[in-house]
Amino acid sequence: MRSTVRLTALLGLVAVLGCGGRPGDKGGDKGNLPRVALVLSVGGLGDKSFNDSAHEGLMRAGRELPVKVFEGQPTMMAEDERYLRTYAGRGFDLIIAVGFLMKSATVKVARDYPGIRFAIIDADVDPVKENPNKNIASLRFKEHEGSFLVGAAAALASKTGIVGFVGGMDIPLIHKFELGYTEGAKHVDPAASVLVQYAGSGPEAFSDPVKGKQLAEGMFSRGADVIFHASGSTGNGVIEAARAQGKLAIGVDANQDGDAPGFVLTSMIKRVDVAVFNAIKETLDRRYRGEPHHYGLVEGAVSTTDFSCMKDPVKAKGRMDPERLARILTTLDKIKQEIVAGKIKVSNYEESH
Amino acid sequence: MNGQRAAGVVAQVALQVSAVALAFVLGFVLVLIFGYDPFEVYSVLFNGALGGLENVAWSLQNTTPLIFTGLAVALAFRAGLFNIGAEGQLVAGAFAAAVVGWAVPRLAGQDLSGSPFWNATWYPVGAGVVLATLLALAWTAVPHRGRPAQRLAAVRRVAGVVAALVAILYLLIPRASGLFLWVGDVAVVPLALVAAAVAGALWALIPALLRSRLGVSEVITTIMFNFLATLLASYLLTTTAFKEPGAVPQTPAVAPRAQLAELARFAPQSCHRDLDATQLNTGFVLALVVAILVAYFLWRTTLGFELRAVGANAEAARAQGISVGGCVVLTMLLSGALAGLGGAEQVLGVHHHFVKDFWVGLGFTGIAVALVGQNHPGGVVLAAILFGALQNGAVEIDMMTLFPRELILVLQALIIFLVASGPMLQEILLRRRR
Amino acid sequence: MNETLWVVLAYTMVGATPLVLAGLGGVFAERSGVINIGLEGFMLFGAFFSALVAAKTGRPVLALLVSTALLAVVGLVFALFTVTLKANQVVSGVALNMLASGLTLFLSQVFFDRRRSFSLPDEAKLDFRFFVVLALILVPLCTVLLDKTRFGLRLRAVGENPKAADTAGVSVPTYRYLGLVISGILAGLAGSFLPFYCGSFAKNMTAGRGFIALAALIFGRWRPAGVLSAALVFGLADALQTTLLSNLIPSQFAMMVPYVVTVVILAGFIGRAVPPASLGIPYEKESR
Repeated sequence: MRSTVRLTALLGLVAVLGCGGRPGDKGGDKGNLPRVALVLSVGGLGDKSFNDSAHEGLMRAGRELPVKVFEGQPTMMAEDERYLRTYAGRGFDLIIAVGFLMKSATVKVARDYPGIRFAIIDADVDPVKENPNKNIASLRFKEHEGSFLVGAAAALASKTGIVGFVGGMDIPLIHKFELGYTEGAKHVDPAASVLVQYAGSGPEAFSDPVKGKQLAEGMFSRGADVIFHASGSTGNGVIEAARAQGKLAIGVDANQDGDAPGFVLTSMIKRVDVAVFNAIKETLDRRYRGEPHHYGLVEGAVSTTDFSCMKDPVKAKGRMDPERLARILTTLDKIKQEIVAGKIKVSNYEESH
Repeated sequence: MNGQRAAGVVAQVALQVSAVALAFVLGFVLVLIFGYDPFEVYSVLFNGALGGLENVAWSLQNTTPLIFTGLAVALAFRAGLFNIGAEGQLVAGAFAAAVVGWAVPRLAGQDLSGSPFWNATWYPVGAGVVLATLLALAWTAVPHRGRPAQRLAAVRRVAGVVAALVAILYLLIPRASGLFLWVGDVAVVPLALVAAAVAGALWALIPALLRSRLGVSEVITTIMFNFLATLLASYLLTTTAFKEPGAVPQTPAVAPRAQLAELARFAPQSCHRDLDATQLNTGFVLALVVAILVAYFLWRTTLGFELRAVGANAEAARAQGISVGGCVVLTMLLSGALAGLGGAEQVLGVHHHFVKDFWVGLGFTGIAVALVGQNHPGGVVLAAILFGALQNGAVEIDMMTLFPRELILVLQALIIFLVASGPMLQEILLRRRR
Repeated sequence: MNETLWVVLAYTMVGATPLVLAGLGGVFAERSGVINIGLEGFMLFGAFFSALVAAKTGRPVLALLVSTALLAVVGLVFALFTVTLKANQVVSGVALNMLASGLTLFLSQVFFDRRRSFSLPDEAKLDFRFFVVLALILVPLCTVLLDKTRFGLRLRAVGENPKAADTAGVSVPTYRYLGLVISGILAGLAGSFLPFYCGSFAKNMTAGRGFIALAALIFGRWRPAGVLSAALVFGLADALQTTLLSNLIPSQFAMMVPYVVTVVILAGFIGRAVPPASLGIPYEKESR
């Protein structure tokens, strides 16, 4: 592991030495490959959530495509612009910003560098006002569809009829998860009640597992027995609370089922890695489009996990009755088809508000 | 005499430089221990810090706020005060600058007689508040009998003049839109800077008063005021009044005419390619000017002399008839104002918004800057360049390699430890040699 | 309603436990005459070391022991700088916080493939209630240690009047070293609570709790029992905001409580808080 770190550090260095690593400045075998940079959101790697997922996509591109990959982890929001500007100034071929918090920085820098291609995850950009150079590809997900599925799963798994939602930062994007989840739960159990809490109003709300556990414990004591979190690494605390109290949690973004086997019902997977990989591939294939891209259930970009962790009698220690699990799976399949066929229309918070 | 002084300075500088060098050596060993190649890491670090015009500009951009916070800490330290609160004062100043830079140009040229603060209901109330403040200030400006409180009286007089100006502006604004247009256009940058300095000073006021009146250590109170500032700022960034619509917790952008010009604009054409990316702005020049002013203030004015006298020996200063309490308050206010200016530079020159968390570490690094700079304005500038460059090296490491940039935080901490214990270390080493 | 009460109580205890432990750490440092701004850093080291060892070995008890030993070392180093080398105590505290923030993130990325946060595997977890009980036991224990033993008497003497203590044959540096080592260990335990409570380590996860502990120390007037009650008050404020009043009061205002209270207390509006007389002054043996 450490040797790969060192190797990649060395590769990075090759680009740096020479004068500032501007395009065309470098010769050599690796020097002429296209370069892609990923700028992660605050919280950084290890959130088991969208940063890690984006990182996966970048690493896959680095392995499979003829491209050199770079990755920056700003330690605070105010540094985002600085990272984006430097990569842009050095003529990178594609710069991917991870997360809506980077929107205003990305818009600003993209305006100043019309010749550089950008992509941003989780943020809409206004094509006229914010993206006049057509150099921002906005990669959006239909999180409401995936959240609807896990909402249904939660209501089906719940014995008390009370399910919970722990959000990270209190913003429209996360309300989109919440609304889809609530609709999903009510779809299968109109009497279900949904407890909702947010960890905070700033970016730190996505990296506060202590707060996550407190919120989850509060919900469990109020009768909830399944909690879905959309809160980055704050959710690590939610999952821990479920484990400690023998209840269920639902993960988000990445497959978190294995974090506490038997205590994580499923995860609402959002394939940020796929979006990142595709954006890189499209750029290399000269198919880059500086416009919105939507990833939904149809594209397989939002979904539940396959419940394999929950099904595994050894790992999950039979914490859930197999019959009930089978019933959940068949219902989810049916709902999935109905959403794809347009029979179920899930509300999108961002459009309705 | 001069030669002796020069020798002293050389010895000082040598001590600081060797402490910094020792920190680099320890960092080198740390890198080595964990199986990385320290030569690689350090070469990226130094390239990021000073390699090429662009990186120098980035480094100086990092340096600018550190000069302000470093000066704030250093000035306070000259009077024997420990201002740990530069971060909170910087936040207060930055917020004031952001609000002025955003709101004043928007309000300029509008008919304000119908808007809040200036409508028929609030105008008399506002006028009343302003007049009451004026009266209160006039009353406090009456010298106290039997107390050598001239300095404090001077402070009050200045405060009174400022309040009077505010009052006149307030009363005139709806009547004289021409004046207001001027304020919103030409004078908005100075106005924002003044607002930032005043806000920073006000944020230091309570710790200053507690220290001068009750002898409460400013160390703890200024720490507490740091947290109060950041919490208040994060709260205000959730309110519709101050938060820009959208997910990003920041205030609306300051108007273009409220922004500090980027230095790239004044540079020769051939450098533009290197400087364009950075937001190195006239705030850097302002920082240098302020450093010179602080030096002038400390060594060429009576007030500066008194301040240093209080710092050297408060009892002796009191015996000489210097108002120690007044001096303490004044120093803290000036210190807060310096930090507040740093916040204004960040908002008006770099981020153009008051964006959440931009301040993290600026105050505490300012302490390191003052320490390494030996509380001398010139030293502060040099130390700020050192730390600014190091931080740019950290970003470079993060952007271009997979090595953890936090090595630089460790280096900074080691520098502080070693510089702080430098004199004693030197003494021990020399004693051993004898 | 009963349920809610229970939740508020549980929240309060969870919030108060790290404050009590770190606050007790503060008591030992400051009663010996050394300002400990570095509580935050000690806590972060404690959180990281215990999480690191637990995650790598899967043995939580071992993790706690190793972390405690390492924190004693950190306390020694801090004492080396502040006591022996007479570095400014406040500056050293600032440096320690910076070091902790940097070194924990550095090591986290070295050991966990560039991650800034990591989870503990199942077998590596320790019931966090252990820390709650520990904190409650330590409060009376520390009170006795400080007030009723020769060690406590000497420690306090060193903080109040080092010259007199020195004349009476008490080694000032020794007691300050001891105070700081105990301080490091206790603050480290406070930090260890966090990863075991939420099952993971996250960057800068102490999030200012060290400074709140400092506030609790002042509010509690540098006494263990006082620290406990201060921590409970601060914990309760936070608990009430998270549970009952979340719609009424913005969380930022609840979080301001410890800081406002401290300033008010220091100002002497509710009974004056008087720090140990020689707090923050390095002891010079030859000074006359």
